[in-house]
Amino acid sequence: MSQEKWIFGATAIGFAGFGIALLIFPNLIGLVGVKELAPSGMVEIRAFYGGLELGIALFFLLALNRPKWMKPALVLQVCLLGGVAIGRIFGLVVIHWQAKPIIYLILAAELILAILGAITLFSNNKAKKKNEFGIDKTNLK
Amino acid sequence: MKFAKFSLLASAIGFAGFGLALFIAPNLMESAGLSVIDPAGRIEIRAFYGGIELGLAMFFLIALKKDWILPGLSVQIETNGFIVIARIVSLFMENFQANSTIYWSLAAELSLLTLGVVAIRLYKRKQKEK
Repeated sequence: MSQEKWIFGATAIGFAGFGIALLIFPNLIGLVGVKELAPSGMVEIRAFYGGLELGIALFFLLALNRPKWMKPALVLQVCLLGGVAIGRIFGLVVIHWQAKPIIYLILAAELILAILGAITLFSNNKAKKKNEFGIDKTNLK
Repeated sequence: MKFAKFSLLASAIGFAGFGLALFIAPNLMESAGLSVIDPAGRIEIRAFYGGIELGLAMFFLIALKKDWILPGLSVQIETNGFIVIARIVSLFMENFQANSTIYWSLAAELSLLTLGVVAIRLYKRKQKEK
């Protein structure tokens, strides 16, 4: 299996896992400091954390068998996980890095997947620039 | 093609708007029934609502520029589709006891979902005609 498929598989499992968990147990969001007030908060957590994460997981599963979607899926991965990681780092800076260990664990997972996606995207672009005779054109410009 | 691009642009604007607002003011989520008094809660709202929505908006803009119509519309339909399903199921579970913000959110997500479904059908029909 290609590197992209491993990354998409891991991303889909990650999003689906958190999505299903929060769909069934929305109170779990309390672990990261969001306390929901029933019932509107319960609806919001199930919809946005559960629904959105399952939708994203489905896209990555579909991309597994569509070679033309490899690049868009890698870009989506970098945008989503990069966006979440930047948002979390900004939030940490605002509160002077005073957060529970779970926040840092989540940040580490997001950063790893975002960086993996970016490296794969970059290496794929570089490989495409090599012509059929094996000449690397990346440094010719 | 034009309608598909309009659909992607509408998604980008919608997600960017909400994402930016919640990135700057995470306490706005209190209107949706979430308590974010805890500083850790504000980090979570900034990251998940702010960061992920801005990331999605960025993806839709890149999809527009690169003509990734099908994968772009697919992301639009799957994300909004699952949010709408989860919101409706959850409203049933809570006996529809939710405030107006929840219903306005549902209306916005349902609009983006409908736009995406119509756009992908029109796009596929045009592709078959070619």
